[in-house]
Amino acid sequence: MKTLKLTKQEKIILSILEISGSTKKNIKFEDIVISLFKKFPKDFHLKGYDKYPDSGDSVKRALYMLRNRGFLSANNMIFSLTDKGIYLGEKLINRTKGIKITEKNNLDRYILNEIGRIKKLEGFKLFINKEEGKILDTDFYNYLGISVRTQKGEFLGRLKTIEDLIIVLKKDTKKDDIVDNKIINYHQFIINKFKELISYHQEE
Amino acid sequence: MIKPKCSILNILEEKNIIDDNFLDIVGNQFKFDHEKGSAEWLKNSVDAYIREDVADDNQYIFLRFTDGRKNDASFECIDFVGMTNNDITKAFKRWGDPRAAKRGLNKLTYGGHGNGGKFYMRQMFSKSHFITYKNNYINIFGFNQKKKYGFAKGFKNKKINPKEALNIANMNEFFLPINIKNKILKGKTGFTVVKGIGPLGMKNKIKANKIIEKLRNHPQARNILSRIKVGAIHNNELIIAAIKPKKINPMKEFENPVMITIPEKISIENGNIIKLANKKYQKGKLLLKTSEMAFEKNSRFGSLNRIDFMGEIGVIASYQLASDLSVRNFPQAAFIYGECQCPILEDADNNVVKNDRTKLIENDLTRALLQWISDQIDILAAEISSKEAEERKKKNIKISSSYNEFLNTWKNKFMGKALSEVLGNFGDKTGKTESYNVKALLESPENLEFSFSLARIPIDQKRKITLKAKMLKTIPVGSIINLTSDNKFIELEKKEITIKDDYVKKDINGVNVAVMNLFLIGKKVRERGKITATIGKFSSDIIIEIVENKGNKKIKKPSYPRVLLSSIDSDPLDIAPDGKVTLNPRQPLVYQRPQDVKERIYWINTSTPLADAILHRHNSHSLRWRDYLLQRYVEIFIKEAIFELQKKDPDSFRAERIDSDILGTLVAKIHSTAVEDLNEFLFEEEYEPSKKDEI
Repeated sequence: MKTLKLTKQEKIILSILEISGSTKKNIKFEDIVISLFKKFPKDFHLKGYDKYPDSGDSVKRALYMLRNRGFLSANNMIFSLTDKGIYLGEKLINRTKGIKITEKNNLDRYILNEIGRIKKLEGFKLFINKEEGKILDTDFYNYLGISVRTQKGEFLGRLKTIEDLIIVLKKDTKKDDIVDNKIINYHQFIINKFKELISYHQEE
Repeated sequence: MIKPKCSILNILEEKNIIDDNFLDIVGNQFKFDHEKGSAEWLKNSVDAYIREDVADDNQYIFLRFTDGRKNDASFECIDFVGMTNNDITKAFKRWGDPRAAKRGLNKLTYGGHGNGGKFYMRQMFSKSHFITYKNNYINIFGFNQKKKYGFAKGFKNKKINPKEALNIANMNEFFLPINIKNKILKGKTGFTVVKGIGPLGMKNKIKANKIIEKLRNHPQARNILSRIKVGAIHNNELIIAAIKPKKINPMKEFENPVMITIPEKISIENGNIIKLANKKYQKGKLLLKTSEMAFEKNSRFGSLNRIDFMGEIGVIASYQLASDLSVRNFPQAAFIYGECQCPILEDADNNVVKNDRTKLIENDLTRALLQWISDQIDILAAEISSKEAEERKKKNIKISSSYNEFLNTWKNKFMGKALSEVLGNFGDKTGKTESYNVKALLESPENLEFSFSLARIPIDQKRKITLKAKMLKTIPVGSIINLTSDNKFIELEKKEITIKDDYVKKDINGVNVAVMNLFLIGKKVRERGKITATIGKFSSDIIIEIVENKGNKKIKKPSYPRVLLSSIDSDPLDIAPDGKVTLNPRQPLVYQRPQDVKERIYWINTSTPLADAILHRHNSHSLRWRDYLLQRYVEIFIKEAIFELQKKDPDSFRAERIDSDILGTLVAKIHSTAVEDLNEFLFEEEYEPSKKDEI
């Protein structure tokens, strides 16, 4: 059997995916700690006590790093996978099963979901109709799929996810030139227009 | 027989023969009412004084009304000038003579064609006459019941002494001013008493006060009444010593009359140009004034809602704004009145002044002028309208703010209890929950990298920024990183930094990364610059902005949310450009800026289509608006509860719990408490919150 080397963060994604049943269900930190220890005891045991799970900073840091990269949502030590996180988890499972993943012509499912969501936004429609002047701060939050009350970490995670989406769209050779280019332009427009809001949330 | 040649016919002129029926035809056009007729008599009396060069202060006129018993009630107009037989024969007896009032003198008089007073005598009374005395001669001339005029038998130019004359005219009454009486008795002046007997519509009982009230504001009388003394006597009792026109107080903020010059030319629809001034007749003026009370139609002062066209002396026409002009902006136009002086109207070539001086003769000139005047009135009415809208808005703001303040107070007393009853207490009494302080995970840079791309530093404070370098063969321990600033107000503590063993740490994947702190100071607020770190072929930048030093005070989070109204309340955070948060109809009904979240400030958006419709169709005092505000408060309760639940009991933060506890129990609790606490606010039309209100 071919062995795969996974990072700690990838192992966390796999564990949460298993507990949540590949959904966005809320999972408590304690459940994640136990699951990680059962599944990967060598990686997640308490330092010096290999029969006890590690619930210290190394796990927490990894979880919050995953949140900042847009793979997890986190609130008060309750975590849930995002679309991006579920997609990464499923990809890892396929890799562990030895399924060859062709570097693909199709976009990731979570990216397609995001594109579908953005296309329906009122702000995007205003942008397409050249009514940029009517685009408001609420359109900015809708674009990121968050609200003004979203916490800094979550904000950064969503911003990263959307930025990743734009990078993928720019590279995608099969993209629908007209609509997808407009999404790219809308992204540049809205990020530029609301750069002060971004700074505010980044520094919060 | 001689056949005349048409070209050499010489017509011999003869006097016109006019049947008396013709006088009925003309007279009916006047359609007198008594105040209008009285005004005509007043004008004739004033003209008599003008002809004798009597100063305004010395002009006295009396209107005497006497009730009757056998259809013999009478109106009289008395002045103290008098006419001679010659005046009667040469002027009074002539119909339709435009020079009648002037009597050959070069003086400006109120009388025009000399018809008004005479037709009033002829058409509106069973019979009428005037007794006039001058230079010791008395003349009585009048109309009999057949409407035929002539001298009274035995009173054509009869020489009598003044005392007898006064007796004949029933003028020995108390009202006669002593000085006037003395002048008459000494033969220094005369008098004229015009009398109508059996007035149409009031044969016995005369409604003297009603006639006087209408006369006060009559266009043909206002000017005369404002200048001279006109007394009123009813059944031998002096009821008013001097009838004066009603004083009109101007509308607040429109106190100054608006004077507009009439343009020299106006182009009309068919492309023709109408000239409203020329070398002989200078440009006219329109003077518009306002009244603090509306001149409502059919009200006591309704007739004042008009434009009077002033001639050289007196009014030559009057137009009611509502019925005679094409003014559109009512009801505001009902507060406007004014005068128009347009000399060209009296140009004999234009011939637009009518016999009865009520309206101008209709032609292109008058139509163009009237339309222009209507437009000017509409402009002023629109200004009044926008002022009213401003006032309404101010009132709305005041009322809305007081309602909102009332709801804020209610919410503060109730919110904490409601939330803890429904959602339960979380953590300790301070509401604190377990917090996790998680250090940032160390990530490897590609080569050389600052932790952030932008940093804001407070002025005059030493601040550290972190630089990371991946330990590559090309960046060994001991390497020197050069640091530069492109802004003199951003000062680096050191210009270079040497990578030491102590700085090297392992990232999450075990890669060696040097983490170094460098220090800098900002010297001028709002300066922005770039710090560049360079080592070999690698470099990294960070943008630095210097901000004000607000200290390190921890701001206590407010205990309760504060609800404010957009476009109405001032911005307590002082972020909004003009101090007011103005929202867009597309923004949420309940809105927060990112800065508002920490301060627990919510804005009710007063610009949403529903809010706007309620405020315009009803008003800020309406039950609909109060209900609208309450619903927004309910939304704020729900928002607070949802975030509270997610924050403090994330484990049970599920749709089912939100549905049951928040949308179910909490909302029901809010509604039932509102019915108890806000009963008057929600159901009494006239409710106004005051400081006395106890919730």
